This record gives sequence, structure tokens and C-alpha cells, in this order.
Amino acid sequence: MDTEVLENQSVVVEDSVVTEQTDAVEKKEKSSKFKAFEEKFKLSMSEFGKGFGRNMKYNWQIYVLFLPALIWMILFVFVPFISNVLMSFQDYSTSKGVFGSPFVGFKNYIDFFTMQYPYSFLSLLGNTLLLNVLVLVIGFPAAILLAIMIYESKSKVVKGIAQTTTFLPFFISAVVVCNMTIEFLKADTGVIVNILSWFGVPRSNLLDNAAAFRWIYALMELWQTVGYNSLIYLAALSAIDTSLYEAASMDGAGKFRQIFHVTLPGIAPTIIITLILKIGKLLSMGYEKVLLLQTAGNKSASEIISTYVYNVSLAPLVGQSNYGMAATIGLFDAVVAIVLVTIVNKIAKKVSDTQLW
Amino acid sequence: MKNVFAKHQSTNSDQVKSISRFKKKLTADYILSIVNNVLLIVLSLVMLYPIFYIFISSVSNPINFREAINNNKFLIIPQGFTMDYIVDHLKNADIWRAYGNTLLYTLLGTAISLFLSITCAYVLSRRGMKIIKVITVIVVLTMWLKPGMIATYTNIQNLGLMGSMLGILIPFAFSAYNVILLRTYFSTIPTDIDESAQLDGASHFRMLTSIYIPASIPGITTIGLFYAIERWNGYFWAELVLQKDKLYPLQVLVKKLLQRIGDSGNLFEGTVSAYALIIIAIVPIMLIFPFIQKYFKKGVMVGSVK
Repeated sequence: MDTEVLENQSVVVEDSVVTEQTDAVEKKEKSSKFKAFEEKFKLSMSEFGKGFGRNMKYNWQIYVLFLPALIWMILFVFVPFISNVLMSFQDYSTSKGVFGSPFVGFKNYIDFFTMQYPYSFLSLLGNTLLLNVLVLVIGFPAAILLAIMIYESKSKVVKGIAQTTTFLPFFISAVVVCNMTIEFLKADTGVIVNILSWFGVPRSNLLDNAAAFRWIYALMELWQTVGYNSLIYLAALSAIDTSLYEAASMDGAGKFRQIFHVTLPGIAPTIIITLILKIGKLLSMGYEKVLLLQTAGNKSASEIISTYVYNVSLAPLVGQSNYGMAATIGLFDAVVAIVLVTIVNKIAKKVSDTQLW
Repeated sequence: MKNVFAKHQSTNSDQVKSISRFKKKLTADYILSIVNNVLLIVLSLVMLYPIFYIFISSVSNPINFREAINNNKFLIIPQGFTMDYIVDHLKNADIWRAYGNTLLYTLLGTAISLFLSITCAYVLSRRGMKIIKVITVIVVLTMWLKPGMIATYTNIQNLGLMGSMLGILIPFAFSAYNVILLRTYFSTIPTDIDESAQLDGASHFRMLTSIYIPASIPGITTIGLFYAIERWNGYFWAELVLQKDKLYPLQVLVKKLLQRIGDSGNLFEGTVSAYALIIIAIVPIMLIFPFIQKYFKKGVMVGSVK
């Protein structure tokens, strides 16, 4: 019996070039048949040491399997990143390319930080920060609150309805969501304008209002993402030991106190990690939705760093495109993101036990 | 825990007191949970209203619609009924071509993304090779060293991919986050299976195709859906890179059409027409949504564990 099976095994080894696929189930069956053989083999295998990899004959395939992703990463991340760095020091023009455009040293950087017209660096920075902070302040607690509410609900029907309806907007594209918002805010036909007029608010195109822009954007983001964001907290909530709740109610704690003393501490690590990640993204705002919502009227509030990059380089505007400056700003974005996350991570490490790495 | 024993040892009147206190808490909690459920239902209705509103407006007659809005009515049913505006859009051949483009880009793009992600995730999940640590660092690095908008644009130009669909399919195919998610799925396969497969002489190609892929279908479906949704909804780079009307996916076409509708003078007709177009754009997603909802939930949960 043993010799037969051993013969089968050697045939399999020679067959490895043929494309016939052996059943995974078959393999498992075979291996369970000679456990003793396995034990002996394992002992000698472990002598190779973990550093060598167990199946040295086929290790070259690992490199082949990594090749597609590696080529992609070189072509679409590392090379453009390096050219981004180079471009930021140049007065770049498409016709001359990276190797032909003149070097201008730090001129782009200086221009970026000291420009005044049409936007100063500080106003761009301020707009970006304010917008992001508002989105965070409105959306972050809302997602946690929603997760807790859904978790605490004892009715499967209510849970299902709430999860589906809050999750659905996430799948609607940016184009549709933003145009919905635009339509809803139109002076004569918009439904939100309509509802507001019940409260005596005069009809106007709210989107042209720079002061209102941030709130509009934050609420739109809230509608679209609160369901998706609450998922992570729901996962963390279901990981909390239910016996903790029982112990708390034995000790006489009502629902509210239970939430404060069991639930919130239970999901605190998750909250901290997501907060770290979100703060890390504070300056690199997504530009798609802001661009779609931008109008002449709200530009003073809606022109953020990333939309400025678009407007100064790729937008079909009259006048010169400043690619070099755009590259500088892009680099600035990436560097600041890394720095921010590292700082916030260090702070989190000191304040609590939770950290990203 | 002290209190439990205290309750048992207490005198009769104390027991009565503690039971009534317990009962009171019970009703207080009960009320709280009812309020919670009611709030959730109200929230769901509010969240749903925008989409609902668009539905009923898209089939409304603009004249009745204008009347209703001017009278500040709160709409819950269509005002007059006409399918004209929806039918108008459906007659537009551009829309069908754009839908076809979107479908094509989504399928092809997701296939490319999955190919890159599965091979890379397999490599990342290998144990016992020191080089894997270096590879992991390289992959994570791509999450941070993102080239800016303009560098990406010129890169696509330099590679000669402008104006062709490859220009959006390949440059945005790989997401390190999704790959790491998939790696987590792959690492749940126990090492015993690895070892016995290697004992039987299986190559890595064989292990990947015969063991890992079949065993991780849920995980692969999840990140496949992540990629697919991004493709389906993406418009910015599609507009920038494709530059030809007949190549545009649906979202770009919708953007341009809505702009055109908005610029034309006719207010209420424009609104109904715009809503009709939006409905056409979101109906497929809404139909598929209930079926794919659970994959996203699972994906987020596994991702959070990481």
C-alpha cells in the first residue's frame, strides 16, 4: 500500500509540468493517509530553517508571481513619483518633458507659499482644513452613533432597514450625488430651498453662497458615507464580550451607563485608529466632488489645495498652465500626509496603547 | 458581582425593593430601545427621501411640478404622470453606448485589477521567506508615495496611453489596500495544507490555482466588487484621459448632459429631465445593491481586523 502510494507521488512530481489540475481535496486525502511519513518529513524540513523557505525548488515562481504587480508599481507609482519630484524644481512644459524643461530651483515652492492672487497659500490651506475638519466633526461621531444605535436595536427588521438605507448612498456615483445636490439647491426648483422657505428662508441659489458651501459639502458627505463608515464600528461592537454587559447590568447600570462604561471603551481602539487615519488625510482632500460643486459664487470657500492644482494645470482655462507648480503642490500634499499620520500616531501611542504601527 | 450575593442575602423587603428597582430599569431600558428603533426608522426615511424625491419628480409633469413647488408643497407622490422625459433619454443612443463603455471598462478593469491583486497577495502571504518582508514594505510604500494629479497625467501621456481605454484601465488598476485585504484572506488558509501540498510536489502556480483561489472566492469577490464599484462610478480620469466622446463611460456622459440641461433656459422642464437622467444612471446600481451589500460588510470587517 505504501509503495503504491509512493509511486503515485513520484508520478505527480513529474506531472507538475502538465496542466492537469489535481484536486485540492485529493491532496488533503492523500496527506492524511500517511501522517507518520509527514511527521518524519516535517522534522527534517524544519532543519532547513525558516529563512530558506521550505520548497526551494519552486521559489523562483514567487518572483514571477510578483513581477506583474512590481512592474505596475514601478510604472505607475515610483516613476511618476520621482518625476513629480523633478518637475517641482522645473518650469515644466509638455513639449520639453522632464529632461528638457529648465531647472528653476525652488522657485515653484516659493511661488506657492507666497502667492497672493487669485488665492494665497493660507487661504487654500484654510479652506482645505476647514472643509475637512467640518466633514470630520459632523461625520465621525455620526458614524459611531449610528453603529451603536443599530447594534443596540433588538429588531432585525429595523436593523436591516437602517443598514440598507444608510449604506445605499455610498454606491451612488460622485457625478450623481453632486448633481442631486445642485438640483436640490436651485433657487426656483430645489427641494431643499423649498423646505427652507417654510421656515421663512428667502429663496436663493444656496450653492453660490460661500458661507453655506462647507455645510452643504459636509452634509452631503454625511449622507453618502455615514452608513459605510459605521460598518467598521459595527464590526468592533460585535467583538465586545457580551458578558461585560451582563456584569454591568448586574452591578445596576442602566443602558446609558452601560454604553459609557462598556461599549465606548470596547471600541476605543477602533475609534482611535480610524481617527488617526482620517487626520492623516486632513490636507489631501478628494477633489472630485468639490470640483463638481464649485461655482463662481462659492469659490472663495471651495477652492482647496487639490482643486487649485486642477484649475492651475489641467483645466481648460485661458492663460498658461503651470505644471511645475502643480507638481510642487502634489508633492507637498503627499509629504504632509505622511508627516501628519506619523505625528498623530506618535501622539496616540503616548496617550493610549493603540497605534497604527 | 458583590451586589448579586447581596441581593440573595437581603431581607424580604429589600428583595421587593430590588426587584421593583430591577423592573423599573427594565421598563426604562424598554422605552429606550423603542425610542432607538423609532429614531432609526425616521433616520432611514430621511436618508431615503432624496432618492425617493428624484424618483417621483422624474415622472412628474413639469407644469404640475412647478405648481407644487411654487405652493411650497412637500412632495410624496408624482405630480401628474409622464414617462416622456425618461423615454427621451432612453432614446438617446449616446446613453446606450456610454452604458456599454462603462460595462466594458468595469469588467476589463476589474479583471486586470484582480490579476494583479491575486498574484501579489499570494506572494505577500508566503511564510518562511525573508524577502517577503521587503516586498511587503514596497507594496505598503505605494500607499503613501502617491504621485500628484499632474505627475499622473504626464506619466500617462509619456507612456502613450492617452486617448485609449488602456489609459484608465491600467494606471488605476492596483490598490495596495485591497491587496492587503486579500492577503488577510489568504493567510487564513492553514499552513498544514501548504506543507502537504508542497510535500506532494506542488509548485506555487499549482498551489495558487488549485488551493488558494478556490478557497478564497468570497474574499476575491469582495475586493472584486470594491474595484468594480470604483470603475463604475469613476469619471474624473475617464474624462481627462479618454478625450473622445465615443469612449466616454456613463458617468462622464451624465455629467456633460446635466451641464447642458442646466444651461438651457427651461427651468422646470430641465429639472424633470435632469432627474430622469439621474434615475437612468442609478437604477442598475440600486438593483444590484441588495445582493452585493453583504460582501462590502464582510470586506470592511476583515479590513478592520487588519
